[in-house]
Amino acid sequence: MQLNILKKKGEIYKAEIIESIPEGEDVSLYFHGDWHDLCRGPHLSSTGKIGKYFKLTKVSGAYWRGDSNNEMLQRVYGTSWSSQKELDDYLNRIEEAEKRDHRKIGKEMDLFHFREESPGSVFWHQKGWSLFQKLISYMRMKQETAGYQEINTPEILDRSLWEKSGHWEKFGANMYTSTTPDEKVFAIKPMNCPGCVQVFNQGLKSYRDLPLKMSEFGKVHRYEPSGALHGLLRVRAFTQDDAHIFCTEEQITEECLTVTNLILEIYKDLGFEEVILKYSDRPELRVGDDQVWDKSEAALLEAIKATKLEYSINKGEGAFYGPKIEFVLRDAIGRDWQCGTLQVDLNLPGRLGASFVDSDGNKKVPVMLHRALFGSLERFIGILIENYSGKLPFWLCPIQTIVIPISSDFDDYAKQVNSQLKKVGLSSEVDLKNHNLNYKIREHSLTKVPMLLICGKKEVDSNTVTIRRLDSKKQETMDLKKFLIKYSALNKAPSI
Amino acid sequence: MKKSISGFEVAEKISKSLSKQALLISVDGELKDLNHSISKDSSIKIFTSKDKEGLETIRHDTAHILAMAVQELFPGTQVTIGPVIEDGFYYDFARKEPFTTEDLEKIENKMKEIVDRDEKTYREVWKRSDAIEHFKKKGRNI
Repeated sequence: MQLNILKKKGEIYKAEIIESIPEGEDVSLYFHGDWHDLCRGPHLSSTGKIGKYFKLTKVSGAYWRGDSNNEMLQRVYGTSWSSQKELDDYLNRIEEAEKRDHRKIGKEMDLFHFREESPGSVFWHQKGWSLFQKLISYMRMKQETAGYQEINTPEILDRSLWEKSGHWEKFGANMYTSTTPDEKVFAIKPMNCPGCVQVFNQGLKSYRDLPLKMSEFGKVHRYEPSGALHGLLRVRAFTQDDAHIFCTEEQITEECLTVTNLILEIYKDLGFEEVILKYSDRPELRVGDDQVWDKSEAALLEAIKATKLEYSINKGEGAFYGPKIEFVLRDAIGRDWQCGTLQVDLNLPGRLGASFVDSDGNKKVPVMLHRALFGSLERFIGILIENYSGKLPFWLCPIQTIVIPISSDFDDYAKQVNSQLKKVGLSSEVDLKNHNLNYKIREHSLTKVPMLLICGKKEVDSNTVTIRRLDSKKQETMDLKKFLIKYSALNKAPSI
Repeated sequence: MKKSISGFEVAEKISKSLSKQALLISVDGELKDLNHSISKDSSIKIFTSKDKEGLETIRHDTAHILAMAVQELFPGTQVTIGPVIEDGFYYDFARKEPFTTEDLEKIENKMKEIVDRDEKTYREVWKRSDAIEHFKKKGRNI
């Protein structure tokens, strides 16, 4: 009853907070001079102790207790550090991050957008999709060289398969399901693994077939509350550069080393040289016998040590079905992004009936390694955009060159140049619009096109192009044939 | 007979400079104020601003000072919850008019004033029923 009076008078929030403290328990209050509040503490001995290295950063709305049926409160955010330098560094990082926000740049570069009708699912525009496909083509090439077989499996699978794999139980809350008119329950895949095992299970396998590497650019769906979604970085529908390696226990070490090297090579191609590894070993609750865990953990650790990279050990943080390595990239402004994983799985193959005939003629269950390098193509693109502020490596740019005639007198030459660029595989466009040169230069630098090729009388007469690079006022005239040879050669990843 | 000692006194015994930098302590793994009384043998750890726990407590205090500043500048505003988050803190306020950028600047300056005032901080433990009674009265005076 007393709490109701409190609510009527207005200190409703304090009343609710006290209400949630169990009966009979004392409450702790902190006083700073006269001011006081409920607080568990601990606190510093006086208000002067915090120093002045703080700043209030923003205000936003927030529902009381996070419930949209309650009142909207005002949330004031602040940051606080132990020195002026730390505060300044932080504020610079934030400012820099805002300049590079992939949603802002994605809009400027006309790459993608989102709609209310489909939260967390990307509408890729032509240029964004071109970038997406360039990454996949690159990954495809690297994987083919490394002996992977690319497959493709259904998005929708019967509930019974998800129950067999264990996903129904563990992932159920995040899965999209549907009941068909014939009263079957299906779910859209949140992971590609069970589908992959189905392909492996087709046809008897022998030890001679192992290691067997199967890759899939699989699109998965995972429900997330709309409040958690954030541009490309946190979505509901994403494409994994997924692959599963089926191997024997003896092959675990070799395969882990190979995968780790592949991951690092790819990150280097994309411009990420600072990679940190996180290793997670056996949890208390787990499947599989200690001997295989020993082998798997030793294999991962050997792979890690061979890289000579910085790594941390998260004791007991592995999944119940196997230990793992997580690959963390550090971007241009010092932020860490966990992208790749290499996970040993001692559980799923057995659960889903996978087997192979060993050299002794006996049927055995293979070990399975899961790996993803980008993790999610969508999220990786967001990271790339922010790392490069949209000024991507040449070979990844959705539009690599735009040919611009100085006036309509040179339209024909410009069109010719453009078609020759496209013939050698460059992503090129020609801008014949009725705007002046300076306008076009400004417009195309907003979309971060790396090179504009200007054509006028001089260029027509000498069969050349005048190159104007992004962020530079300098111009360079080059023989067209020379340009075609040079830039078609540069139109690939460094390691290829 | 064992006498009790405060975390601050423990720091002083180690070095004068440590006592100047000490922000809080942990007693047998539990974080406590510097003036917390230690009356039995325990394992003590002293935290400064260089430690994660020290920095988090600075942020927690800063959040309180934010709430103090807001209530001094805008009487009638109710404070609710103010936790520490990554790189900082936030506080939720119940108020009719939204805060403007100018308001944020005013609040920040008031916070710096409160830091200069160097108000002593101390903890009290009350019975649940006394606390309810107290906040009830506080609400009536607003």
